[in-house]
Amino acid sequence: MFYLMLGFCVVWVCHFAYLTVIDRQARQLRRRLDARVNAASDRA
Amino acid sequence: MRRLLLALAILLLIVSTWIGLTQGQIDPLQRNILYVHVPNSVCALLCFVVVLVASVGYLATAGQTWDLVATAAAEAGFVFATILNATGMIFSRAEWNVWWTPSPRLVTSAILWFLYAVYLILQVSLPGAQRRAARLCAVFCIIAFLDVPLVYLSARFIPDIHRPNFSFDSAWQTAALMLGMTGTALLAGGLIWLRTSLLRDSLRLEQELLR
Repeated sequence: MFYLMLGFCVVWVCHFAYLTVIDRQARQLRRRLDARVNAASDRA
Repeated sequence: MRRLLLALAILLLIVSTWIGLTQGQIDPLQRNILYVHVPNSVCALLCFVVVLVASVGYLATAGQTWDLVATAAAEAGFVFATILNATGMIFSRAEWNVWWTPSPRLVTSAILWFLYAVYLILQVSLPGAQRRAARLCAVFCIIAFLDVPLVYLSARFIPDIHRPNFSFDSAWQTAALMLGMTGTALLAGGLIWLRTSLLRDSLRLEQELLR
């Protein structure tokens, strides 16, 4: 039972870790884009 | 659309796990790791096929999208290969009482993981022009892919502790594996799609900032 739970946990942890990394990068990109749009509107 | 794809994939994986652990339980209990080990292994190899196709496409056309797809697929494939090796080790410990043994399939799988780890390191660390680095990575990737057929064929042609194939006793077990395969394949496709568009947007922003 221990090894079965360990196996399933490893799978879900790996998948969610990678999804979290992608999500964080998407948020950072969104922030950079917003900052750029704000800077452009300030200049205008 | 991409969020829907990922949500569907996660739903299928949950249903597969539920069916596998209730209706289609394999005896002894630790063998149920197969329901996650096999789909993740197959998807890792499929991701590396995508990396190969994208690398050949990049070398043939020098189109940047090919390079981005190769990077995204290599990242996803690396995650699946990590799961392949980790669940394989856990299964090995539970079934054969050793964490790792130098059998042909285990060795080739470990080499595969290291090769794509090197590929991802090369992607971010090669000096010089971006195009030159991308070309070198594409060539490395084509060479690294030679290990993929070895992983698949090793247990079939060389005597190995790892079984080359398996058969199920009930339709529930087959259903659980098929749902797991579909869910994992959708997850892989969604991750590659998401990562490629993220890399493309990030690259565009950097190019605009440089102007």
